[in-house]
Amino acid sequence: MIELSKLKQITKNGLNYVKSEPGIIEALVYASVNHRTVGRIVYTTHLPCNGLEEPKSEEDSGIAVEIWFKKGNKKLIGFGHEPNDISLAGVKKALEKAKRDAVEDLDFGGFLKPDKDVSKIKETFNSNKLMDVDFKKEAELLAKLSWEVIEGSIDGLEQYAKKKDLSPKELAFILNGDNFIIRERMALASTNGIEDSDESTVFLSFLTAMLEKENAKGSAWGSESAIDEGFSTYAIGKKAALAAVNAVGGKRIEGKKYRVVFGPQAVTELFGNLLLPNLNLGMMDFGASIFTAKYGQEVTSPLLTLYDDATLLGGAGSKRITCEGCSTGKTLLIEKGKLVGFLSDFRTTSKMLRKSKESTAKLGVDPHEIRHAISPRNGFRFSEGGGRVAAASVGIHATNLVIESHQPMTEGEILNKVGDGIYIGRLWYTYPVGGISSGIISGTAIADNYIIRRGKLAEPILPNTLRIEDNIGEMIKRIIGIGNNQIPTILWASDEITHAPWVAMDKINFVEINKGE
Amino acid sequence: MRVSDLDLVKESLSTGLPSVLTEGDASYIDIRVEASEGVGAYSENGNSKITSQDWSFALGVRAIDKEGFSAAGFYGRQLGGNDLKNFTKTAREMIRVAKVRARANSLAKSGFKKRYGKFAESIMPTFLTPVKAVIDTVPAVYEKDPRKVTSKEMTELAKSVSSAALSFNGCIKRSDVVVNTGITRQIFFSSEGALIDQSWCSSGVTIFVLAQNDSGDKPVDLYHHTGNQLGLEALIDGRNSHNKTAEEFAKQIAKEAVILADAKPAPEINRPVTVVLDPDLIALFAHEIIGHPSELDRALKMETGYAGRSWLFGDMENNMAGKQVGSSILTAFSDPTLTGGYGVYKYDDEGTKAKRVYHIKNGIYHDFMNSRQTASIVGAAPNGHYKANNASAVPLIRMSVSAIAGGSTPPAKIISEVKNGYYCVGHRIPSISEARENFQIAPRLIYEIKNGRIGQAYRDGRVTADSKDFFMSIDALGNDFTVFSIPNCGKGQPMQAKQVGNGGPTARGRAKIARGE
Repeated sequence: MIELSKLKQITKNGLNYVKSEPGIIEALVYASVNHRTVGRIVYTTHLPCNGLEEPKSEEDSGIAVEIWFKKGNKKLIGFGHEPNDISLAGVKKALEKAKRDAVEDLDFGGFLKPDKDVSKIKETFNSNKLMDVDFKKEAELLAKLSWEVIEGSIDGLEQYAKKKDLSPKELAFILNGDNFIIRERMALASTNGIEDSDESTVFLSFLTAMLEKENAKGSAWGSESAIDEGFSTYAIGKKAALAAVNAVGGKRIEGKKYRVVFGPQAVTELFGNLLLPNLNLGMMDFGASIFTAKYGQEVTSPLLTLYDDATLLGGAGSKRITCEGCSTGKTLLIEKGKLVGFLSDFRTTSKMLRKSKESTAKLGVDPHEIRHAISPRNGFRFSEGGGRVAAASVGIHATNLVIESHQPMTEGEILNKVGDGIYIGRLWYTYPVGGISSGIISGTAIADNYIIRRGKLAEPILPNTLRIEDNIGEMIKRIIGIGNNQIPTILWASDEITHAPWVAMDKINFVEINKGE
Repeated sequence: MRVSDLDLVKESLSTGLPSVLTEGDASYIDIRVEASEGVGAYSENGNSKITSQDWSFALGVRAIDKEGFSAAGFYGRQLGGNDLKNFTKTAREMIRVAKVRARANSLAKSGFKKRYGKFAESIMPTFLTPVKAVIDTVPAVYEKDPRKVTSKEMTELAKSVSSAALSFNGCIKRSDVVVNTGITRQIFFSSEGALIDQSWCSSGVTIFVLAQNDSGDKPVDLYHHTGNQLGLEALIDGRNSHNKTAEEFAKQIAKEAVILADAKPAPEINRPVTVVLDPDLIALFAHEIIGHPSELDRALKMETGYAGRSWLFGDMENNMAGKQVGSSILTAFSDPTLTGGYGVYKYDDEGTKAKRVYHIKNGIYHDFMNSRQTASIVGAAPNGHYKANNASAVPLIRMSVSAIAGGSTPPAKIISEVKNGYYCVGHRIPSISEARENFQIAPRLIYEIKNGRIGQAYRDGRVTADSKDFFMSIDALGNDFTVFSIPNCGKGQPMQAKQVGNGGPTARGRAKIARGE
C-alpha cells in the first residue's frame, strides 16, 4: 500500500499549491488509498462447489481537491478528483476539475474549522502487520482463513451427521459468506489549519449455515481491528454450523402480536438499517425523519440509550479523524429514551445553523442552542464495501453504533421478562416499505429464531414463515428490556459496526407467510 | 483520460500481453479494462449543490490455476492516467497477483480435498463451459454525446428539474434531483483469444420529494428514477421508459406526492383481493420475484448469505423446471438485447454472446440465467448473464432486462372488468423473502376500484402474497408492455449496485393489502 507519509506529504504540498490560486477563500486537499480484500465462501455438500469461490480484492487511490473561491461577484464551491496519481501533478489535475465544475451553493459557508476545545485523539486503529502484508502472504492468508472456516463448519456438523447417520450429500449443508479485510489510509490538509491523517484496518467475517432439507439456518460472525498470524476463523465456521444444527425441527407459529427478544443480527437490522437513517441530520433537514421536530422529547422507551462512538478501543468501526478532519468522538443520539443528538458532517451542521429558522421547525429547537448535539463528527467518504474513497463526496455515516441501557439485563432476565414469546435472531430485507417518514417496516425472519416458553428458549421456529409488519417509530416505544451482551455485528453493505445486545419489545406484529394455501 | 484512449489498451492487449497469458500456472486468464466519461449534477430545491465531470479507468483480472486442484483468483484496481502509459506493465503485475491468489486457492483446495474425504466430494475443479472466442466491436448508441455535455449544462438541468418539482404545488416542501449522463467502454480479452470492445451510454434522473399538506398530516417522502441507455436525449427529449422529459417526470412524481399527502392510509385487506398492477409496478415483480430467483448462482446456493436462494430450485432433483409456477397466460424472460432501459449488452463479462432466456413460458418454468462456470455445473449452454458493475469487481450472474411478456387486453378493459379491487400504480421499496417465495411490495399509489371505476387514492399500503399463489392468479395482461430502468440493483460482497432493466404490461391478479400505517 502507498505509505501514509506519502499521502501526508502530498496533501501538505498540494494545499500550498492550491491556495496560491487567485480568488481562493478556502481549500482542502484529501488523499487516500484503500484495499478491500475478500474471500467469498461457497461450500455445499449436495451441489458441486468451489469452497473458496472468490479470493479477490479491489483497490483504489486518489486525490480530491475542494475549493471555495470568488469568481466575479459569486462564491463558488468546486470538487475535483484524480485517481491513482498521488503526486502534485494529480493535485493540479483535480484542481482544474474543481474550478471547471464549481457551482454556487448558497448554503455553503466554508470548510470545517478546527474546534480548539476538542482534543485530538492519539490512538490509531490499525494493525501494521495486516497493513503491510505483501500480495503472496495476503493470498495465503486469505486461502487459509477461508478454508479454515469450511473446516470448522464440517467439524461442527460431525456429531449431528453421526447421530442422524447422514452422508454429507444427505445433510444438504450450505455454508456461505465471506472473510473481509479492509485496509485504509487517508490524509488531508485545509486552509483552516487542519493537517492530519488516519489509517485503519478491519477484519470481518460473516457466515450463514443451513441444513437445507431441514430448513434449518444459523449465522455466525466476527470482527477485529487487528489480526495476527495465529488468528483463525475455524471457530466462526463451527459456530455457524452449530447454529444451523440447533435450528433443526423448526415449527410454524401463527401470525399475531408477540413479545419478542431480538438477537444481535436482528437488532442491527432494526437499529442500524431502519432507525439510524432517522437520526441523520441530513434526513432531519430533508424533513422525512420520524423524529422531525422532536429534539429533547421522549421518543423511545426510557430503557434505551443509543450512541455512535468512533473512538471505541478495539471497535472495528473506529477512526481517529473524520474525512473532513474533525476529531471523532462519542455522539449521544438517544439517552434514556430522549432524543439528544444527530449524526452529522460539517456541511449539514453549517447549513442547519445558517438557516436556523427553518431548522428550528425541523428539529424542534434552535440549532444554535444544541451545537453539541449536531457536532460534525460523522463526515466520511465511505463507499459501499469499505474504504475512505477520494472519489466520493463527504456523507454522513455511523462508525461504531452502540445500543445500551442504564438498566441492562442478563439474557436470563430478558427471557424471564418476556415469559412467553419469541426470539428472532435474524431479519432479512427489512426495509421502510412505506417511505422513511411513515416508519412502516417489513421484513422476514430467516434464521436463529426460537419460541420462548416460560422464560426459556424452547423449540426453533421454521425460517421464512414469519414476516414482521410494524412501525419502527412505535416499536422503539415498546422496548421492555435491553441486554448487557453487546457484540459487534455487521450488516450487508452497511458502513458501521453495530454493538448490538438482545433487545426485548412488546406487541410486535408478525404475519404468517408461505403457508402454501 | 478519454474512452478513446482505450485504443492504446486494445493495441497493448493484442501485442504486449499474449505471452504472459499463456506462461506459467494459469489454464485460463481473462481481463476486463473499462473507461468511463460522464457528468452528473445534484440540485436541492432548485439550488446547485455539486456538479462533477470526471472519468474512471479500471482493470479486473481472473486467473484459473491449472496446477493443484483447479481454482480461481481475482484482482481488481481503479487505475489512473499514468497507468494508461504503462498499461502493459500494470496489467502484467495484476495478472501476476491474480495468479498468486489462484495458486494459493488451488493448493488449499487440494489439501482440503485430501483431508476431508466424503465432505470434500462436492468440491469440484473450477471449469468454464467453452464458448466461441469472439472478436467484435459494439459501438454506443446516442444522439447527444455525453462527452460533449458540459458541467454547466448539467448544473442547469438539475436546477430546472428540481425547481419543476418544487413549484408544482405548495405541498411540495423539498425537491432533490440528481442527473447524470455518461459513456462507458469495456474491452474484454481472454487467453482463449476473445477480444471484445463494447461501448454504451447511460443517462438518468432521480427525483426525491417531500410533500406535506396544510393540515399537518404525516409527510410523504417519495423518489423515483427514469433513464435509458442513450445520450442526454433520454432526459431532455423524453426518450426514456416514462416518455417524459426530466422536468415532466419530476412533475409526475411531485403530483403523486401531493395526492398521497392528502390520502388516507390504505386499509388492511387480509384475504386475497383483485389487484390491477400498472407496468411500472409489475416490472418490479418481474425483477424481484422472477428475475432474481432465476439467477443460477442463487439457485446453486452461492448467495445464501446475502442475496438469498431461489424458490424455483431446491436441488438437481427437486426444482420447478418443467412445472407450473404461474397461470397459463404468464410468460417471463430476461433479454440483454431488449432496448428501452438499462441492462442492454451484446456480450457479457466473460465474452458470452447474450441471449434471451425464457424463465416462464405459458406458466411453466423453463430456465435460469447463467455464467460459464454455473452452466458447467448444470450442463447447460452459457447464456451471457455474467456481469459486474465495474471492471475492478468480480462479475456475478445479473439480470439484464427481466420482464413479464405483454398480453393483448387494453388496460382500461382490465380495470373496467373489476367489481371490487385495487389499482396499484408505480413502485416504492420492496421487501422480499429470502428465496423470493413471498413478497411485500409497496406501490406508490393504491386506488380503490368499484364497479370498474377508479376511486379514491390510499397511501403507504403494500401488495403482499406468496409468489406462486400470485402468479397462478394472473388472469389478464395488458397490451401496454413497457421497459423501465432500475439504477441500483444490489448483489455481491462488496455490494455491486448495477443498472438493469425491468419490463411488463398492466397485469391483474389477486393479493392481500397490508395496512398503510
